Amino acid sequence: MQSSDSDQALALRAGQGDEKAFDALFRKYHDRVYAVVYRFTGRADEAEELSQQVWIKLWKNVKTYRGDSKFFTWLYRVVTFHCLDAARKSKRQPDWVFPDAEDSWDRVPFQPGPVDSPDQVLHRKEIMDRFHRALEQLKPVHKMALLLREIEGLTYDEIAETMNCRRGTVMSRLHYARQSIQTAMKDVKE
Amino acid sequence: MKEEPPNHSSAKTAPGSEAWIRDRLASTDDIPIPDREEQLETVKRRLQQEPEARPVLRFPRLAQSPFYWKAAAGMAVLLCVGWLLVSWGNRSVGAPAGRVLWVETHLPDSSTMVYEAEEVGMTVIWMVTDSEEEPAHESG
Repeated sequence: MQSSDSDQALALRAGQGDEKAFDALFRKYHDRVYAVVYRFTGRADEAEELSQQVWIKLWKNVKTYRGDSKFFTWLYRVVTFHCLDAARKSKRQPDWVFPDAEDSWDRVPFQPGPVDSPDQVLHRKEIMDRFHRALEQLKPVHKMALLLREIEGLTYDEIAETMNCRRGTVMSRLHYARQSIQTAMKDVKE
Repeated sequence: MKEEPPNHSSAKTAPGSEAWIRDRLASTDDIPIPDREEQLETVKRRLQQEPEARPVLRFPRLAQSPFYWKAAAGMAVLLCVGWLLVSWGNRSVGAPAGRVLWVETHLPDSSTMVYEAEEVGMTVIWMVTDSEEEPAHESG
């Protein structure tokens, strides 16, 4: 995922109060930001609320963007810290963002393929439920590193910059995230 | 460790494998992405409804102000004196007065003085910070 020079120009204009520039950035990145937040929370309603808060925070703080780093790195830093902050708060309010694993992913719409038999549909749903639960069990920082890598395709260095940590830490977080999911799904056959 | 670029291939892979995880996460088919324009309108409406953001004093800016260092110096002195008072209050009657071996402030350009007021049996610690010192006067 690369942002162009025009992103930086738009962000700088947005920082000067140009709403049209902000609108353009919103339209360009909304879906991707939402996808990351949705994968992080596992719930559509929470993802909608959190992603709106991200954009509100971005508008309020975009004036601090100086253009000396890539815009999308800066954007995902806002996304990352907002999500991690929400996860931290959810420890005190367990029903707010991350409800019980039994409940949350049942709300994810499951899209069966057009030629799947009922058994295949059921089996695929079980696999995806298992996957989503494994994802939900990850530590927030591990999950966010994995999402930035796999959804956004950020490099290790970009993730390190986004998460404000070292490259080695990113590699370690990715390793633990993948290993946890692999362990949770080791006896699953597709 | 060499960094491999993410490969969003749709090849069939074993559940739980790295490529399988990547495919599942990269696919947005199961993500109910809300209408972008509606979301933009909602965000703008919420921004209009929010009160003006109040300026927040952040640590680095605060640390630059003389007030911070004076407050920190005052707090450090209070802590030292408080500790000494508690120690002094707990000692048995007739015991020799406690002695201060050293005082550390961790404040840049600060200096400390320890004064034992024997007439009242107390130890007084003075600390002078850079911001509190009188500017040097040129002579001649």
